[in-house]
Amino acid sequence: MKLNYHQIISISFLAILISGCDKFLEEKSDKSLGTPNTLEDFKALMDDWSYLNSNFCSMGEASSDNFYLTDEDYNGLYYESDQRLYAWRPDNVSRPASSAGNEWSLCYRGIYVCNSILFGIVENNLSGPEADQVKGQALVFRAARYLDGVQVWAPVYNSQTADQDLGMVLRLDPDMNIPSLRSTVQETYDQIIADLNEAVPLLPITAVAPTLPTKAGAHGLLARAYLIMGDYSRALTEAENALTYHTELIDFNELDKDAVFPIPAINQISREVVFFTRMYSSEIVNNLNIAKIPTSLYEMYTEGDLRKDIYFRMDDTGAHVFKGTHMGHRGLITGITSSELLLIAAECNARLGNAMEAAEALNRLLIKRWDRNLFVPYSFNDPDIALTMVLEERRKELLFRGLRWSDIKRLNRDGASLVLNKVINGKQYTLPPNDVRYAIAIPEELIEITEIQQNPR
Amino acid sequence: MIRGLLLFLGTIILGTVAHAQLLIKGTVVDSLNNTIAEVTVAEKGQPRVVRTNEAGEFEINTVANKGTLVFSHVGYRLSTQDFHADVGQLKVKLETSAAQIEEVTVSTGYQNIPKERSTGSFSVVGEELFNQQVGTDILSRLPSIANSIVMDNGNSSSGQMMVRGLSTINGPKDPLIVVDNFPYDGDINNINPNIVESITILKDAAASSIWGARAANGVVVITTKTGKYNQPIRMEFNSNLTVGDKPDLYYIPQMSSADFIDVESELYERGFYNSKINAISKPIISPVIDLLDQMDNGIISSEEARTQIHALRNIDARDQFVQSIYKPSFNQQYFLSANGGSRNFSWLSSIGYDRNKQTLGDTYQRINLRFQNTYQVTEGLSIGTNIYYTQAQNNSGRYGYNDVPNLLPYLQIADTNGDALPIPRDHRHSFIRTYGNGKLLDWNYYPLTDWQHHTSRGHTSDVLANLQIRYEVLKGLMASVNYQYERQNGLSTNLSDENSYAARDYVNRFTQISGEEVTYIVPKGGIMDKSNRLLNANNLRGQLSFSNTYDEHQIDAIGGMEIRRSHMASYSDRFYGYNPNNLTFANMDYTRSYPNVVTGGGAFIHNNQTLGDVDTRFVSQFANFAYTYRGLYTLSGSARRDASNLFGLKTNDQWNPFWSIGGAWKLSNENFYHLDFLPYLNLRATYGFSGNVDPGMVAVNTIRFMSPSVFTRRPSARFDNYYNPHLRWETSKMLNLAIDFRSKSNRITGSVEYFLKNGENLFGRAPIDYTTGVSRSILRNVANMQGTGWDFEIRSENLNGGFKWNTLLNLSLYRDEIIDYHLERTLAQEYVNTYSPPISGIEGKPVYAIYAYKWAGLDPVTGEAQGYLRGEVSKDYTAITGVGTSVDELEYYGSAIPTKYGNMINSFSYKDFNLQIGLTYKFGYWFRRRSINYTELFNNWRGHSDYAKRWKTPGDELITNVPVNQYTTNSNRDRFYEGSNVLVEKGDHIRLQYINVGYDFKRLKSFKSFQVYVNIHNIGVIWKANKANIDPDFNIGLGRVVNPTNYSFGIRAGI
Repeated sequence: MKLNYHQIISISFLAILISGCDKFLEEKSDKSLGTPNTLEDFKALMDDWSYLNSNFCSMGEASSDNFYLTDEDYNGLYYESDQRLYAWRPDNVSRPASSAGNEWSLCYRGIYVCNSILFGIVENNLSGPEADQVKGQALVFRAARYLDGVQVWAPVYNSQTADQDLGMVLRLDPDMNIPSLRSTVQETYDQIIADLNEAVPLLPITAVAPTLPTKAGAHGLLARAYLIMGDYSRALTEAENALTYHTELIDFNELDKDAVFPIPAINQISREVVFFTRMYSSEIVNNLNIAKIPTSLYEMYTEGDLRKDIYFRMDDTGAHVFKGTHMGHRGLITGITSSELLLIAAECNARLGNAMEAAEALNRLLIKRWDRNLFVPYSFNDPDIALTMVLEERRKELLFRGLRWSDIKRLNRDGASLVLNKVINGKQYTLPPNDVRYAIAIPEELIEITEIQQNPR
Repeated sequence: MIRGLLLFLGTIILGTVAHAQLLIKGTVVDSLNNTIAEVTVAEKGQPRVVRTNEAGEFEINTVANKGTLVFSHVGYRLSTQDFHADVGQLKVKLETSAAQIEEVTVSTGYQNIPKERSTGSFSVVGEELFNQQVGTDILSRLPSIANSIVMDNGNSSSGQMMVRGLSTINGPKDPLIVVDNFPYDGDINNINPNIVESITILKDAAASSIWGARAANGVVVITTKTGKYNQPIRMEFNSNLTVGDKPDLYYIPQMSSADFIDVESELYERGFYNSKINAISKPIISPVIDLLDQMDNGIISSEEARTQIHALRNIDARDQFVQSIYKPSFNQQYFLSANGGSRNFSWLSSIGYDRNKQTLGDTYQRINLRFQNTYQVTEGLSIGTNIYYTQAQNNSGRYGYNDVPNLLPYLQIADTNGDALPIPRDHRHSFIRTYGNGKLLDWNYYPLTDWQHHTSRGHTSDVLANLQIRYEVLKGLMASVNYQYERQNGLSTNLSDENSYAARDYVNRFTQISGEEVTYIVPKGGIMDKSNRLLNANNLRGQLSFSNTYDEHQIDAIGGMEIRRSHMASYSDRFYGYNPNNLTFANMDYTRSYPNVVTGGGAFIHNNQTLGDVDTRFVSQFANFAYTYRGLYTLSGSARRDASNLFGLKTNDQWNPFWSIGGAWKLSNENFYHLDFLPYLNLRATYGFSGNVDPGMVAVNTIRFMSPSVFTRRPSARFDNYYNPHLRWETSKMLNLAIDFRSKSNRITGSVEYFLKNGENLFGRAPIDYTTGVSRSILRNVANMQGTGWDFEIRSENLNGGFKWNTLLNLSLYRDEIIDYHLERTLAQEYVNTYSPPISGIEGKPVYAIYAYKWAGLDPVTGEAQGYLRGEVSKDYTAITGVGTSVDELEYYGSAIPTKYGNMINSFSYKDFNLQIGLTYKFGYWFRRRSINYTELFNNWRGHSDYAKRWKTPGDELITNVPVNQYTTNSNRDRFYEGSNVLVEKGDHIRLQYINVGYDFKRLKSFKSFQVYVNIHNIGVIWKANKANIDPDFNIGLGRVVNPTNYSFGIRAGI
């Protein structure tokens, strides 16, 4: 009897311990953790601007003819891969994945977040206008990454060969177990266009900040994509669509040209920015202003062009460096601005034979860029002259925006024969038109561990 | 399961009937009249044994009505006592055996078991051995006295304590630290070493499996002193003063000032600094470059520049630090303890005070209070309480050599009058001298005095309260409830007052100057960061323990359940414009970007607000039994399951099972055993299984919320862990075989253990296709590994006369190898990580191994480093360090962690003098030393004294391996040299860890004991294999110095 009594005490005391354990373990171990399944979660993921809006490719810009490095600065570059990139070497031009600045990985990091949001919305049956908005914005972010990447790691879009040329690895599903295989350039552009078209009706007209895509941003990216593809009428329509929502231009007449960063940026984004994305802050392109402007480029800005002082500063060695950023600091943007939209409209009009309309779009921009007392509006009759002038203006306006590399590629495709030359430590380097090196090498270490095909070398 | 165990135990109890001739009662004490628990008492010629209880009491039913009782206990000499019918209450005194075996009882944290009856692998450090070292903390003493513990210093500067090598290659590798009954959640430095009674190291699976998943890396159980029943009041006092040498800064391979200036001047001539000199942000340039630039701009004459630069050539920045910054450290320790006990009440109280003043004047103060008591309420019921209170405070001190950024070899921090000199910090001197026309705050950085304005204080208070209720349900069956509460509050305050560089710099950066008007966005004043971490830990355990002897059967079993909750809430905040006199501060607008006063670039004001809330919970069930037959054969087993609230885990991954089985055979007790020279011989074997989940083994993707986006001002989030359906459990199985022995008259005692560890599906970071966008590497089950080792723990009594000499030798041999690697990883660059060796994935090779690029000597013409590319001598560093070299083309050296290690302590005593000398040693491993990295030298001013040995002219390649200075950066060239085999060194060394001398005043009437001691600690390496004059334990980290030698003087007295 006594034994039973003791047993009962002992067992009931254990029973008390055991009961309630399940509830005890349900508590979250870290309050800042969560599983992404609500719209708020997906919005929070999208507000991680350092993953979504930042670190767009600088490799194209670093390979372009917007600047040169002195031998001293070239010799002082920390990463050998940066030196190789600058010298158009065919291989080993990417930073090792173990160090910061591997742009392939930065590109796909953003794409993963977009894919997760897109799948998450479907999996969690989220619907309604707000869910649509988030979906549309994720589509735009993804398209922006693919459009950015395809300029760097693939040859220029060429309608003759686009269905054979190697494009981006199209990852449209967050499942990390799907092997990476390269699509064709055609498939890449098809995806970009499809994503943006799907996004347009879902997107809002305005957003809290230009970090979030709007209808104008999607139309702008479509315009950029069609322009590169050579579909000028569509590009024109899209640019005009975008311009219906966003027309703000900063009047350079009102700026302090002596300021270090004359273009005003409220909280680091200027008013001209339609959709904000930022270039990776690379040692070559925007560290310490070692990128110096070739005299031939600087001299394209004639008397009365305010950009001459607002974009450039003479450094202590007498060379000019770029200061015309839209971020109020050294950061460079790669996103859509109203000035780019006007230039796309002008170029497309010129190419489509609408010389008058080309001049009109160009003048709309240039009146804000020129000393208003000295500005003489363009007027064109000949579309060819119009095109030449528009391209010259485009060259002068859109520097250090990650656009020049793809411009060189598409202009050469169309027969412009732009030959790039560099002299480094007394040695001549040349990049002839349509060279295979216009499709920059994919990181070799990645080629080693995946089935991804390297660009022809 | 527990129900079943109870029934099983109950059946045994009921089935037992005792019959005997006499009932003999008595007490066993030691020479100081302290009672001794767990003494084995046996009737001579009979197999049955009983043991004394905690009060030293025993009861034995004898078979005959007269005869002899045998008393034995490890650490004491065997004693016999005759008995007969009217012998009455016996009092037996045991003499300490000369071999001084420290302890017999091993504590697992769940139970105390006699070591002789355990099957598992335990190593015990007793109080005397533990106290041969002096210091504020506990753990740092262990590697030099304990068995199978090593501090691996090859991977991180703080070192990694390991028990029996590696068990996991990802995740925490620290052993679990248990204080008395529960894992210690607070800062282990809270525990005063003077309260330690013994330390048990649980090495094999049978010993540690009771602790579940957290025991994967071994368990260290710290047992504290407790009061004893039936004891008059006693007091103990220990106090010591420790004076420590200044650190030897000349151990740092600093490049000479002359060399440094030569390099800078040449780079200047070559235009290397042009972009920096001309940059709009006016970044820091060195004083020499500043002078050269001013000379070229005609601001100073070339003669003046040359004179000034020339004067710098003979300066060694270390000199001033040695002379005026570092002072000998001075540590004081006081400890007073009192204890006593009546028949049913025992108590112990102690107070400890430590005050450490380190070489930089930084201080640490700790007060410990402890109240422990046990109350025997009725015969079967006892209640124990233990309250331990800690208050610790630390204050920052002067800036040491490594605390000063941009400290070039030729910089001075004080002038000849001893007044502070500025050194460049963010901008060049000639720039800040005039910039802002006096409208900015002084922008100079004075390392000599800045510490007075930049202080950090930490304050920790910790309460640990423990309640234990034990109730003897039946004879031998004990039910106990153990509850422990711990609350640790850590407050830290970092104040940069208005005269500190940090505050002046931050105010200046945001200052807006337009014409004569000056606006301070960040107000003048101090910047204070405050953070708080509040830990609340609750542990509750219910346990049934059964221990009894029935004739030839001895059973020890425990079973129970435990819940744990550890909750950490933290926050941090920052106050700008802080005025300590009236506690005022300013409101800041964190959402606006302001232009920098120099560059004009926009920046947001840093908002240092964070909130954290981490709550970890565990539920565990455990059981453990041991059955001994005739004192000869023991069988043991244990099982445990754990569940936790780790976020996102699959439910079926929540419960981890662990188990072990073991057996022991006391061979020397067999009738056929006749080895006279080895009177004690015991064989043991155990096998156990454990598993581990990783927090990354989530069933769903998880995200982590972060601070709001500066653009949208809404919360932002980022992926934290990714669902990976291919992840499986990491499991580990360990086999342990051991022999315990004692030679005749205990001249040599010890144990030899062999273990085999199989780790399967070990977690590791594996490089993946980063096109997936997930990350560069991901947690995978990367490898299976096998570890084997031997632990020898030998005590010998070498001389045993008036002059006594004893030796304790701990030797561990450990070897691990990858037996299966699940990934394709053949690129050499994955195996050559410059300073800390990465996990290698080559089957048959150690988990951490040193590989190096093959060296083809310096080019005799140019002095450039040469390696091999596809078998040919090559200087294509991009290919060699990139995809051009595969791992099989590397040179393999061996393990990066010591494979033979241990310690040896020789103790001598003559009359009232005693002397102990402790040595530690590590053998059988390799490390990589640093050398000159030109890219780092040019860009980050990180030089190396090897620069002086570089190749200069043809022929030098015969006497040096240091490449030529080409005055151009090439990160891959430097990576090749740093990863090449000329920089790999053998790590083997022997260290003289401590010498302790004591004198006992035995004839002092008023004291029970009185000892004075002198202790010298960290004496240094007495032999090493490498010729580069590197102490292998102090190789990782820039500016690393060897721990200085400490000298302690103390007294220890007992009343």
